[in-house]
Amino acid sequence: MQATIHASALKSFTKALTCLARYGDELTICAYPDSLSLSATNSAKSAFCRFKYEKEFFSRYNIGKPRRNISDGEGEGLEETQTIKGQLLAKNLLSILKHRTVERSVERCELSIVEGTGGDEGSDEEIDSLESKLIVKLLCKHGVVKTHRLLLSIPIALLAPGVPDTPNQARVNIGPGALRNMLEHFPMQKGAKADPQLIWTFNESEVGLKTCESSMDKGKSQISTELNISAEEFDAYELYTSPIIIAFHLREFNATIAYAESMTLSLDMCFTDTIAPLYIDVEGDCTQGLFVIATSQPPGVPVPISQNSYRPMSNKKRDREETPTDLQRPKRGMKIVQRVDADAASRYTAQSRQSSRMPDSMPPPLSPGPGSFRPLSVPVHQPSLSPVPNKRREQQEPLFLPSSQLSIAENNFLKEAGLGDIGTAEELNALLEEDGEEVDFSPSQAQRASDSKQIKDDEMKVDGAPESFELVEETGFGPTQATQKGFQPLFND
Amino acid sequence: MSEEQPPILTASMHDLRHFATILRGINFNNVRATVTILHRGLLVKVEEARTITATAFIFSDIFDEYIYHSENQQNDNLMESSQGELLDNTMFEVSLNTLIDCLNIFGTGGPTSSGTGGSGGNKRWRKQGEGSDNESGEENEARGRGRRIEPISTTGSEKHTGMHMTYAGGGYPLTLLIAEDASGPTTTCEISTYEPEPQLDLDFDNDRMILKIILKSSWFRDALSELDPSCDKLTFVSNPPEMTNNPRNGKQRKGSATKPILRIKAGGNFGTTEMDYPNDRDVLESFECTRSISFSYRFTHIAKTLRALQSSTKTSLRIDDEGLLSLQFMMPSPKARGPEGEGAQAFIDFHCLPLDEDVV
Repeated sequence: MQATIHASALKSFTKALTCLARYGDELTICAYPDSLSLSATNSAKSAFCRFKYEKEFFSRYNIGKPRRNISDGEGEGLEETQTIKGQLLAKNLLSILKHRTVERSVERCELSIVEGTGGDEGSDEEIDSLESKLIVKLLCKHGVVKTHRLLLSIPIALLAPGVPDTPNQARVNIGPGALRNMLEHFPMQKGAKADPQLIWTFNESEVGLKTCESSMDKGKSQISTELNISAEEFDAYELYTSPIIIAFHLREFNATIAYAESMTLSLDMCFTDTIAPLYIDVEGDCTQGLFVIATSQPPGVPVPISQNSYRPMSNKKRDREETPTDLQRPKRGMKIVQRVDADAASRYTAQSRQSSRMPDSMPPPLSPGPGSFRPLSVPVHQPSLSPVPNKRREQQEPLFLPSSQLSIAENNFLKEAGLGDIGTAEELNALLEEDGEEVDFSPSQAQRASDSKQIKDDEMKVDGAPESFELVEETGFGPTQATQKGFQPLFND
Repeated sequence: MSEEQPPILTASMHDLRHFATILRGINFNNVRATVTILHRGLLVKVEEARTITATAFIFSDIFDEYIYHSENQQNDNLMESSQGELLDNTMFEVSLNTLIDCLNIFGTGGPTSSGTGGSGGNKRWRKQGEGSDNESGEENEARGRGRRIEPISTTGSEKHTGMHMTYAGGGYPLTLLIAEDASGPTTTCEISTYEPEPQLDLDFDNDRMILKIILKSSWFRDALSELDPSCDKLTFVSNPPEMTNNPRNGKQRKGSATKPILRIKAGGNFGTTEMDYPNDRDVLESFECTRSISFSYRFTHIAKTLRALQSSTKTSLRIDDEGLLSLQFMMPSPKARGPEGEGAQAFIDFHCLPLDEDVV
């Protein structure tokens, strides 16, 4: 991959990198034939940031190996269409491009990715070429050339969240300055640990912002601030229903605002539900920025019905763990980015490419490959209360386990439950169906339960399982994210 | 203080910032500096890891008053020093950190703005504002005139922190009398001195010189500051200019040379960085190279020169046939400006031994 960025465009590229670095440490670079995408995910996997640069953004962009040797051009021809991916520490790249001398002296910047080739290229560069490298060549005034070679690691394949395309999606548009004015009323604690959270209430004609106080912050912040602002402040304000209450952390949101402000672009915020993530689009010339920030359950806000099914179970577990955490504590949101198995990475690529091409539309859900992924756990009695989270699950395609095989954790779970001779999910499902209960006992649910707890108490399980099944019957089986949310604090730092 | 005989050294200056800047440039971590008093001025030298030495030449003309009474005959402790080339000198050791701290006791010994601009300058503004309000007004004006290469203006009646330094002789402390301004508070510091210990001498022999480059310090400073601090090794690669047209199969990019005349290479965990400099008068003021060389140095050692580099205007980089690196920085002096101020430049010299490539 070779891309040349002119000095004028380099500035916006660097701004995007600055934003990416505030989202996460690891920067994933994906080069597609017609675009270059840079993405980062925060460590809790609750915020995702992606910039996509069209080919036109660069003064020169091509993918595939430069055809130096025409003789073996055939072999290279196959690789022309491939995408190139790599991952590196964002701050390494940023420190190069953000250096104060760059702005002053660099005339253009050539980015290229050299893939490790096992040595056949090594001869002409005198450099060990086993590793993939991102080469940043800064051509400065007076013919000074600075070449930085950054090692690229194989990216941990992550499923990028897709943007839902639902009719009941709320969409508001606001400039960064107005947002900044709103947020500056909320005292922010400085420091890496501080990550304030705000509750946003979108009403018919006004928007309310409120400090979100959690048990962890208690005592630290004595001020609870509430701010109401007319919907007219927004450039676009479309709600399908009101009120919509969402709460999310500001650290990444602030990074997005800072980027939008520096680029003088407006933010297009889309959200659907209290528990669904917030999507922000920031579009510029040949640039698309997509930001996804997980929302969390604000305290004191009526819990959506789809969440109820999980509460009893998680409550019980927490008691058993003797973790006296406040149940009302807003959780650092659910994971919006899922890890993918290595073999799923290629499919992820395809999906991600599609979604990056059309960030406003939901990528078509992929049907899971035969036997490689477990079927989606759409409940049998799924009331139409929370269709969105399920949709999200579909497109995200969170891939936990092959459907035909149970994990170790699940097997343990079953053994402890006295069902040790059940080997596959089908058997399990069959067994459960015989019981006459129409439930979707999905492997992932079991896995998650046992993962988080390693339940040892048979009693509890016998009790617990039917209980949750009952609830499932009553209220519908909600999104798995909610389960994770319930469990989240146990994993969080 | 001995009353019956004059002190060996009496030196004073009305503005100690330049002096402090030079000393700060050679301030390695917590090492003692050997101060050699000569008739021409002071020579302050530090050494680390038996690999790198830094020497500051502070000529007597940057002091308003500089009186050296040679006491060698009366001082048995310093007899050995007379064996040196510079017969008439006096040496002592002093903790450089302490000396610099004392000079900065009013917070006014901050770095003089020099060829750098950048963040160091901002710090100084703040410090000066604390020290004296009159001053900052004038300095800000000076800043507005584009002080990027200008040293501080020394016009007229500015009030600077003045200093009077005396050294009575072996066994006596170095006594500093520092006055914030004529009517302001004064302080007297007595800094313990030590007998000098033998020094590492890394003499650069001009006959063995292979590479000699003079460049603006800003180029070299930018190069070093752009390198990741995690680098462990820094390599200077240089080729004689005539060899750069040597045709080589392989890359031929825009007709540029296959062999860079000057390449600074650094490697770390993150990858490698190379910086190529062309033989352009705007970049390299002079370039002499007799044969291709490539020598590596520990980056942490080279990075120690940064502070001196930041306040210097020009850098001379020399490497001899065994890889001994000599970096000489020309420190701008307030008095050095104008036609008559030629000799008043101060210099800081760094000599650094290369890494042994066979071992590394």
